[in-house]
Amino acid sequence: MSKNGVVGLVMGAFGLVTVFVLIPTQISRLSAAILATGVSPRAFPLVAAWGVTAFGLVLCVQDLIAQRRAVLVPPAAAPEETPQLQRNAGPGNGEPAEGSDPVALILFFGAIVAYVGLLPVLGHVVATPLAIAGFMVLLGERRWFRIVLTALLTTGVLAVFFRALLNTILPTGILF
Amino acid sequence: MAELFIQNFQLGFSFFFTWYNILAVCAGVFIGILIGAIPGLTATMAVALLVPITFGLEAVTSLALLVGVYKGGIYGGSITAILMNTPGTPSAAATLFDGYPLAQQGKALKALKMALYASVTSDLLSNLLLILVAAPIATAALRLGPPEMTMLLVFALTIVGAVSGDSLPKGLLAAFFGMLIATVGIDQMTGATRFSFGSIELTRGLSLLPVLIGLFAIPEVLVHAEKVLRHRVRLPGGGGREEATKNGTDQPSSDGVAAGRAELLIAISPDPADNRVSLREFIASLRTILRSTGIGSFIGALPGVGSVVASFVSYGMAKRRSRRPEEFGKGSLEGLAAAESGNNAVTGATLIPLLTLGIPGDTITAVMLGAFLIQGLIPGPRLIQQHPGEIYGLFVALLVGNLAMLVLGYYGLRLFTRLANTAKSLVYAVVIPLCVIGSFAVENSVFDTRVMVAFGALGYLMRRTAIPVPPLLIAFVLSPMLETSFKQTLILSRGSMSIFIDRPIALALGVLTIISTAAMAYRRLRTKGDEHASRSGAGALDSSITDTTSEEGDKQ
Repeated sequence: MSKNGVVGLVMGAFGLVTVFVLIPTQISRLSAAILATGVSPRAFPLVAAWGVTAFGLVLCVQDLIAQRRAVLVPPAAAPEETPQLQRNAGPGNGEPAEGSDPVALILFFGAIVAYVGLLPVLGHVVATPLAIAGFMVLLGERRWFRIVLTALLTTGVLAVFFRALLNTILPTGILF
Repeated sequence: MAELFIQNFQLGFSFFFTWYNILAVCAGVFIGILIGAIPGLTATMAVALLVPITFGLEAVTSLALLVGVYKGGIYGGSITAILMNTPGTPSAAATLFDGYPLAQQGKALKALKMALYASVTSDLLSNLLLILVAAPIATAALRLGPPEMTMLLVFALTIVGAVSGDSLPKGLLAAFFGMLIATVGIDQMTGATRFSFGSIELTRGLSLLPVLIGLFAIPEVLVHAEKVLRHRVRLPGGGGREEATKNGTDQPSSDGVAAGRAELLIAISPDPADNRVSLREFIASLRTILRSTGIGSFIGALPGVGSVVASFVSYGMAKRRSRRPEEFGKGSLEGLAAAESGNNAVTGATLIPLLTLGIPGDTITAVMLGAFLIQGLIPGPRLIQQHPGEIYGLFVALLVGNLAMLVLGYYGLRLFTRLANTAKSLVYAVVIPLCVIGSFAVENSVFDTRVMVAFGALGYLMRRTAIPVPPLLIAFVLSPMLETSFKQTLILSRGSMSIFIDRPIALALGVLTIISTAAMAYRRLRTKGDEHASRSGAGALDSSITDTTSEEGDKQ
């Protein structure tokens, strides 16, 4: 089963869990007598969950059919995409990213999660420059002057902009 | 009547044309563009924070400042949408469908310029509409009730098909998932909590901005980070890292990327044609701009709908009516123009119900209502009669604001392309905290930052599995409004669905929805049929060549 099939199966299962477990436990069923509209608060979530289930299964079935066809009939050569078209495939259009490196990905995502987690603890003044410096190092920057300057400048500008100009209080931690 | 109109306009000119009013509108546009371009900040936020400042200003000055911010903010969102695939404001979400692909092709300047020209054109036309036909439009807009809103939103949702890319099931899967997560929180009609899992934060639902930033900005950063980190790991012999650090960066020396030369945010094409919008290209998109202006103006005049819906509907209509719909989503100037003109056309139109009936057209005008009240101007049917100088001064400010947006936007492009010439790594290291802080600032909530990160992970997974994000976003935005208006309709009709047939406008919208869905389905089937035919044709050609070759071989 290819990636599409797995996605379809997972989403189909998620949809069913939502319909039979999450919705009954997380959304109260109100009696028809008090429903002015006759439409329960469960109605739209049910429609959505069944939609997820249905199209998850459609993806799964499509994948199985495609795999069977590939076995029975060798696929004709697909027209080669020109480099222009390949460049046209924007990330916002659901095109898969190139390659995969789980370790790198987890490392970087973990850094973002750590920043979000530490922000309310350490506060913006401490957490943000550390985070910016960390991200720059992870992304390959080694010039320490540039790292320090960017980290401090960005933190300062954000602080002034949000606090002084926009009157928005940024997270304060245990130190500041 | 015409004489009165001209007199009022002359009065408005005299009220507006002072150096401080001109400065106010220019400053407002500048602040608006800047704030709109920063992911996590919105024009609504900027207007809300500037309203108290206007307390000490004269009426026309304060209104000029605020409408300048409004205009600039809506346009500014397109800048990061084009350069970084991250909409600066929710209304720019549709802009990135074609804006970012254009930038990836090295045509970032072309995209930015088209966004600017389309925005200014539609904003100008929408302002003229406001000035000339405010009262009749407001009266017509009020005739649209919940049944018409429901059908309009259903029609808007059909654009999911247009932005689903090659796989409609994946698009619909994403849309239904978006619809599901939009139900988190409290049901507005019954007060029942949904999917709160005992959490107070989840009870208030998921805010749009953190979801938007998470779905678009974070995956972009993760993909870049993965690429950079993968290359570092693959440097030969382990000594590559030492070699690369001579230049102070750890960039790889393989894969055609010279050591020390970091990947730029966006490559700007050296071809001048890629860096400007020719008159021919603008005229080719003019019909789309005019259509989208009409759509945006109509939707803007409807209270409570807003520029996000306008941009999506405009984009979907443009794709349906285009002669080259296959280019949409891959860097179509027409698609970009449609999205930008749709969202900017709202700015003038949302003032129509506010000025003529005292009903704000969207969130920003709801905030601006406060500014009117501070100045002693009570929006409603008598406003123009009682304060013609101030209101016509506002109209003049709107027109001057368009000129300011054109000039500031055009010369600001140099600044924005400097951003494009910055190393991606540097930009993203700064963008991440900006996105986190921006998400926090929406409602001063740490929970929103966690929502952003969660949707960042989701957005990345969707990208890896080729599930399109736009349908999820569209459904997330539109389905709560659809649910509310649908339930209101049923209250009105006492549970009867025939109301959708009895009301002519609702019926017309319903028929339009069916026709456009059928047309889209037909187009998809035809495209698939053509693809099958071309593949079979290629196969037949191959086999005929093979047969010919074997015949020749036999003869020999």
